[in-house]
Amino acid sequence: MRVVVDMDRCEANGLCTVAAPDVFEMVEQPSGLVQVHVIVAEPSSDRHTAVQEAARFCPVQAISLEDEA
Amino acid sequence: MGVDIGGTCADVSYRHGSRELGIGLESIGPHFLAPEAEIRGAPCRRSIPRTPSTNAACRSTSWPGSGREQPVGRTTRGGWYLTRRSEIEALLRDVASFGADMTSGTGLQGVEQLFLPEIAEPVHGQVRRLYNACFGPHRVSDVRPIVRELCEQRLDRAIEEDIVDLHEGYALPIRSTVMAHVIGRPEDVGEKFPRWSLDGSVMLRPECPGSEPGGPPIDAYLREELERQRTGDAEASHTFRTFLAAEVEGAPLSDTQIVAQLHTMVLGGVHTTRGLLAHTTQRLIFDRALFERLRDDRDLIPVFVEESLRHDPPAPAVTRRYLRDAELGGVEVHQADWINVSLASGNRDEAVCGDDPAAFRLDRPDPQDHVAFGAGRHVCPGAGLARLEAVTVIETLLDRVAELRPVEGHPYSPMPGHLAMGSLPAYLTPRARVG
Repeated sequence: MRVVVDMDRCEANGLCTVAAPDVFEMVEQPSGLVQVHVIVAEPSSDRHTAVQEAARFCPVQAISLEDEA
Repeated sequence: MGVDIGGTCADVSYRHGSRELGIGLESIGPHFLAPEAEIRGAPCRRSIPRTPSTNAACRSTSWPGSGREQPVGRTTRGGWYLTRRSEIEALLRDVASFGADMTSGTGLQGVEQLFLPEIAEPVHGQVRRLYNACFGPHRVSDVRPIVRELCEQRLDRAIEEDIVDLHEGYALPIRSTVMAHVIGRPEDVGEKFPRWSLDGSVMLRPECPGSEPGGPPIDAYLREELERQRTGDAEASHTFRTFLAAEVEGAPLSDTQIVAQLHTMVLGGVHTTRGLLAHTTQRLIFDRALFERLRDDRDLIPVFVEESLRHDPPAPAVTRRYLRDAELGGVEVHQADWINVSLASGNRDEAVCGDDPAAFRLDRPDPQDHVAFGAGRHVCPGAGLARLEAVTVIETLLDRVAELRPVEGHPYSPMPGHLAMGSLPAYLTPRARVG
């Protein structure tokens, strides 16, 4: 599984960082705004459920999970 | 006075005047008001049925499972209402077709819509990012020790008394102080926010009749504080600074726009959270077995909070307006039509909850499967903060208190109480301090 966040859609609600804190983090910018950062782009299989939950909870549907080729 | 709001519990009265109980502006529109209600030129408020008999009637009628066979219907005042979870969720997510209009509770028409839920995309998304910067999950953990300390202080005081009002003495001040902390002014608004919440003025807009020239007191306060932040006369607040530095659509926000956003934050954080804290606390006063179960298994506290949100959502309904002609559940609806979205009903949809939606259970397969915070891109930005406050309020209570007992004969507020402001008196037995 490969985690991709569409930064144009992302509004930094951060619900992904609650569902899978080891995969997503929020990084504060000097402006005070926050950006979501993917810590682990290819999470191990035991984290897949949490990552799927993160994608499901995203209010703007900015997270896509791509199957590995 | 009774009015049928789409089959939901609606034995409520409407009055205007600054002493009346406030409601969530989104939750009811003028089209839902009973004919006797006065809406011309004055802000309308909805009060909560306070007597035990009305309370019982509320529980026995309609929220659970009501109207499911007829998912879309007309309200008595010409609006529409929705009851099914699937339609409710689809509508909330479809922000291109349905807009929030928070003027509905005030009876005002044609005022500029500046509150966050009313703003259309793409501006909404840009403003929403500012909210997330101020109290997103990355900042919530900073708030936890503050909430804990506040809970401890309140209980220190409460334990000294025979009968404690867990509403005014505990739940009420906590969410106000948390919001004061979020906007960075903890020292001088601890007393103001509760006052503006209780007198209902936090619900008002500058355009409301009777408002001072600077708007309701909350707006005047925020405007003054904004100026102090701009000139550096006040200790820097992350929230004010973030809004002052922000660019939306390539331009800075006007003072009026910033004040409207901070006002939205306080309104959302102070009013609805009160409902959540009051509901969970009230349940602990009355349900001894639940109290003991949570005390012995703290992992169940977040589950309890979610079940409370599902069963007793602090905002039982929100209103939306159609932005264009559309079809909904086989019914043709028109631009500018009002729709009452019953979150309370959606939370008790048998298709989601099984055959016991009215039961309060801590063993539901997915405790977060509810729409108490809405859904989609307008989902409540303060949800994480509200959850943290509720969990901490309950944790501290269980740490410090051995037993809670209700006061016989006291007319406790109905539950779901929708921003109920009734007192929650209880006999409190403190726990022996360890060590």
